[in-house]
Amino acid sequence: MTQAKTMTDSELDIAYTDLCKTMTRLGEAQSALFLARFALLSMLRIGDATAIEHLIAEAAAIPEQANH
Amino acid sequence: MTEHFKPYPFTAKQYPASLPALDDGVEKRRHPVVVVGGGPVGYCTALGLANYGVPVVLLEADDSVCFGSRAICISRRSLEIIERLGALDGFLKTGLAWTGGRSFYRETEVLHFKMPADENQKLPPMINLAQYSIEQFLLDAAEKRKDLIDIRWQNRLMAIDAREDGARLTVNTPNGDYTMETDWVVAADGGRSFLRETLGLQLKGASYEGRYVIVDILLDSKRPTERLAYFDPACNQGSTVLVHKQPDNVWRIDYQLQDGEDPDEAIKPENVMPRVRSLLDMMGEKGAWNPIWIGIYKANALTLENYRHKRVFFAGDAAHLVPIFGVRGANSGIDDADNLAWKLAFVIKGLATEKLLESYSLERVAAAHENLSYGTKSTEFMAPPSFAFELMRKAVLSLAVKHRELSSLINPRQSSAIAYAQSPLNAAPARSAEFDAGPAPGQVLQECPLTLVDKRGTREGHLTDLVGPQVTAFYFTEEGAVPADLTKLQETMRGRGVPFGVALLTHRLGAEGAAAHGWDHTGRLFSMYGAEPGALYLVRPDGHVLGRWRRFDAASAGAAIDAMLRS
Repeated sequence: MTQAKTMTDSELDIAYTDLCKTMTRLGEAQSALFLARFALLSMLRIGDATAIEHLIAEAAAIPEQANH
Repeated sequence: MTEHFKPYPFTAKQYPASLPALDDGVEKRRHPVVVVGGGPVGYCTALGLANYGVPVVLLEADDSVCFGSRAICISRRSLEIIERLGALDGFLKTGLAWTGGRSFYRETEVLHFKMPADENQKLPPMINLAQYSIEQFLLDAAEKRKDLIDIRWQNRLMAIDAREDGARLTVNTPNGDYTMETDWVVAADGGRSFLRETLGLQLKGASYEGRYVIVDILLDSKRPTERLAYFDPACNQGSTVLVHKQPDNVWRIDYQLQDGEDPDEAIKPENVMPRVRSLLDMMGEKGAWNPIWIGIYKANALTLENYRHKRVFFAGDAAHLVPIFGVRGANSGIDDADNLAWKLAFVIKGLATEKLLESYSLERVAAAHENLSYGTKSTEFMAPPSFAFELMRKAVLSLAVKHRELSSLINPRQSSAIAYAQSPLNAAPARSAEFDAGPAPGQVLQECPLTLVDKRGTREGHLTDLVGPQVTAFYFTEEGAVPADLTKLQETMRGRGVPFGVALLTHRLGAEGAAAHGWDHTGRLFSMYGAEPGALYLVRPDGHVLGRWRRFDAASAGAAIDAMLRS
């Protein structure tokens, strides 16, 4: 699935750091719930069931090496 | 097999302790400026001052250039500065130029980055050169300026009495102690700055917990010069490893220690050697190798809030500590030196008021904050400071191959020239806003090839060849005609002793016997600068734009220079 790029490198960078810092602040115990809520909110924002289905499949295909 | 240690392939010349003529332990002559610290920043400051004829005393506590594993990456911007200081040749001859790098996640390449290396450039975006060589080439240049640069080896600063009008320094040497008076002091005495400490000044910012082991090894390999980063490699699971090639078969390896590893244990050779060996195996390097140096590194992102304290100016690591991951340490120090030298020289020579020096701290503290923000981003990726950065990094690395737009997050954000967007020196903003291209006030010049024509003949060159130790008026013209007002401005400035030059940039090659000019033979320069014949860029001695006018305006340009000198 390809998608039009809507963020600049710098915007992506800022968003990424914001996410990391927010998760750090909430703590490890809350991070799974935080990511779950973020995923749900993202689904609502994406608003495209097929796209969401693809994203779920792709996110689930965790490469062997990342799995430790 | 046990690899034994070998020395660096460099022999430092040792210098005897020097002691000036004294009268009862006091050097009678008062100096305009004393630079404390003979590292890259100290040498660059001294060479910069010498370019304006200002005599400098440089105090170095040791008896030779540095030893060990220090800075290795010199940026294009630094090379431009070093060229103006007369030391470029050695850097280009010995340094290894590189243009990019590769990052791997396990065995997969997830990023192949290139730094800007277009056809307009004169200098490589980066070279690798060991700090002992960096210092040696700068020292060689300084020794050619013996008339102005008095290098005092084995002279250790012991105390300072800093006043509003100067300072008294107490210096220890193996041949006895002495005191001397100076109008100005430049503190280029490094990360553990004695001057910063003794004056009670505090660095502010963040320190990171993550530690890296730094190993220099000797290895004969034909592998090209590029920055290699291995995330979670098979040889060192869960860790990050960086590899840089240096001249003379020296390789720099940095690897991240994992949480809970004891740094004292980690740097023991018996713990380092197996990791290096397995890294080299993984890289497919089969040749014999020897360790040279093992050290440990912890990232800091710290700066003083003001680089001036009475008559002491802080520069380089004495002023700020930047994480190594964006190679901004030595490079930002060289930029500090370049910014400070001309301003101090102008003030010492009575060409500018002391206010000009305020802009040093304003500009370079802002630059440090920019460098620190990039350095912090790199550090957060290279040495994740929390579980969240660690987890997100894993997500980035595992998705980056398929989603190239994520690769910018892996990019090490290498050092680049900083713009002084908020500088009080930036002139005529409304006039600058009329341009639709080119560097705005506070930015550095964009490089462009030119054909340089003068009395000696015609040669290939570049725009930055025309930046000298002076304020330069780059005047864009059809074929070399100079307006009378510009000649008059030049005469006025020179009459006041202000180093000022006019550089003519022409659309067409000038007729035989024409004044010296740079011919835009590629036709790219004028559009790159948003300029038509009649446009003027005023450029500071450090290569940053002071102001620009689509139509040269003598009154406005003269006022910009006056404002700078009386800023």
